[in-house]
Amino acid sequence: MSLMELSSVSYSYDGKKMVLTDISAAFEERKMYAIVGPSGCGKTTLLSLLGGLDTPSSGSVLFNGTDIKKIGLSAHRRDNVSFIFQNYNLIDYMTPLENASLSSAAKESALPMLTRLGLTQSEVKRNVLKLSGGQQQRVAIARALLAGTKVILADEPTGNVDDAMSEEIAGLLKESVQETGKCVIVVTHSTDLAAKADTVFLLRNGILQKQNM
Amino acid sequence: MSSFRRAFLYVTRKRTKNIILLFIIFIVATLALSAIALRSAVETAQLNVRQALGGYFAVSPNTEDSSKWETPLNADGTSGERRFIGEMPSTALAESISSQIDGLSGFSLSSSYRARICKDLNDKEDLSLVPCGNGYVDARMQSDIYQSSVEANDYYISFGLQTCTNSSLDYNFVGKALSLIEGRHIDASETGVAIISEELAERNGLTIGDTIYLRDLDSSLKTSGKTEVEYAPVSIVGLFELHGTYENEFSCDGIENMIFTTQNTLKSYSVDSPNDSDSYENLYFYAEDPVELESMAETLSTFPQFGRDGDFTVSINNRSILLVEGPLTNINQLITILILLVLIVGVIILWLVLSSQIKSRIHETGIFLSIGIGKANILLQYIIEITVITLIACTIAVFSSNIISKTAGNLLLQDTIASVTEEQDVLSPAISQSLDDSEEQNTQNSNNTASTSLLTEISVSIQASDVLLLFIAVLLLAWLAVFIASISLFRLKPREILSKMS
Repeated sequence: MSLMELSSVSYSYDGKKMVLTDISAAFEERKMYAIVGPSGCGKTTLLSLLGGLDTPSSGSVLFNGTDIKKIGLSAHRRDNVSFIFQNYNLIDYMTPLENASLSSAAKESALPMLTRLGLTQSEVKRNVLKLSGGQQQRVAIARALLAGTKVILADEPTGNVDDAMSEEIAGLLKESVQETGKCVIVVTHSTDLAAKADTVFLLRNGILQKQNM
Repeated sequence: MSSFRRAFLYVTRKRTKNIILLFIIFIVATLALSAIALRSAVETAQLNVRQALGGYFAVSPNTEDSSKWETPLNADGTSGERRFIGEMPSTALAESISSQIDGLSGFSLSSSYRARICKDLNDKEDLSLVPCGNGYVDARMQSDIYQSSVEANDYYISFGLQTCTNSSLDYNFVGKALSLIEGRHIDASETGVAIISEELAERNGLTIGDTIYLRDLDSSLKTSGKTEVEYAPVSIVGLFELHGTYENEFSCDGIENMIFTTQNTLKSYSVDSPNDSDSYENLYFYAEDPVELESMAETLSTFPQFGRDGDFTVSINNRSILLVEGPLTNINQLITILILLVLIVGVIILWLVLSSQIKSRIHETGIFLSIGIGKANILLQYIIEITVITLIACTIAVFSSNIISKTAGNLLLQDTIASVTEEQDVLSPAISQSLDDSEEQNTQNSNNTASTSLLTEISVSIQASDVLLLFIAVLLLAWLAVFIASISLFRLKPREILSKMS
């Protein structure tokens, strides 16, 4: 049984034109997947469906063989998946430490994680908006990793950072797959990041195709 | 992270937004609490004024019925003065009525007589009246005319005698026309006691403990055929003072020259004394809340003994209440409208501000939803935030409203006293016509001083119950505002929220 599965998923914004058409795919743990495709093809939408932020027009999204609607979309987002966004999406009135602890009851693990990701003791207690883009993305990654979920969904995680930071982020994601056995699904335009994935999917004209590596 | 922790962080970190919200709630709470305190004070003052001003309904014998009159024969065979032989009010009647009508605070029975008074049985010289008549013949009646025709005119050197069951419940004292300044009140069980005015005592060199002697008028003696004059010793046990000014043509009619005593005292010497010492001319009832007098009197008038062919009639004196009721009711209505306006406008403003603030938190809401925090949990955070801010604002409002309500109370009060003073000169058409002149004058004069002096005693204070009511009301309104403001946000799917965030 796959960890996550798309089963004949179709989606339309307006009920007329299909953005995603009869997509089926399986995602395993201890693997990193990249979804690439032209802008506006529906990559973020696909990620939203996997993460329970929206529901398909037809078909189903399965987690461990169970439809996530039956699990409960909110429970699925809380227990099964974590998001990393292009715009970091941190809470502006919380410190990095508090942001990282949002989805984790154990505040103790947040500080070591943030330190490991390169933040200093003073930086973790500073207002999050006072950090650089790269630092903020590291906080977002820490939040995702600390959530303890089996699946990490990353939407253009390197979109707003420089190349050096992109490389670092790519390494962190790969590490999380290898060290903790997570399933990482990344939507990206970056060929470097896609190259690090175990499997690459191309989304075009609503069809998802596995690419030969 | 729990909702409480998130709420705490938001309230303590987003100071500017929260201070604006706190200020709005503080203003609403201050105005509402001030108005509530003011209204409570006005309601209390209204009741105090009504109770202090008194007012009563009176039960009197039905003298309209001709079958209740007879013309006796004098000892010399001539026709005497026509007299009333119908049933008179008594303590038994009073107690019977009291048991059937709720809300009565007490009753008093009284009768009016006249007596001549001296303080020395050796010279038997009449006490000097306090000069209070404004008729030009008054002085002549007391000296020149008396010299020439004693029998016809000893009325003008006599004193008004008021027998009562309990002088403290006599309408003159209850209505504050008179007040006891020295000594004590008297009741029906006593004999040989009296209360006189301070002025009369001073004029005749009398004090508490002194003895005066009461006797019948010559005209009464002649009617009864009695030739020997009896003098009854009466001890002065109390002195009263008058409030207000009174007009009388003759001094002998002035309230300054009135003596309060008991039926037993009268019986000990007077030919005018009724056979039944528990028989009085008038019965007065007082209400716990004088505004109920009219309904009580209406109820009583339906009893079998009352009505056109009954033994008794009912009349009401609530003039004083009617005079002050208007201005005080106006304040009450004004304050009630103010409370409603404050709450309505406050809620609208609060909703608008909260709505705007919550919508501006769409980014934060999207993040929470994306990490699996449910909508109910997020709403709980917003409610905790507004609860904390509301509690802080309301706590501060308790202190500010204390100051504002006292200041506003004083300002309103000054305006009310002016209104009440103006209205004192206007007689209400709803007043019963059964009042006699003395009652009418006494009542009117007591109003001039009692009503305005009592109104200055309004005390505005914030009650714990008002604070609790405010907390609950503002809190519920704030929660409602948060809930309504959140509806449009939570109707969006998480993906739609995140799209808006992007």
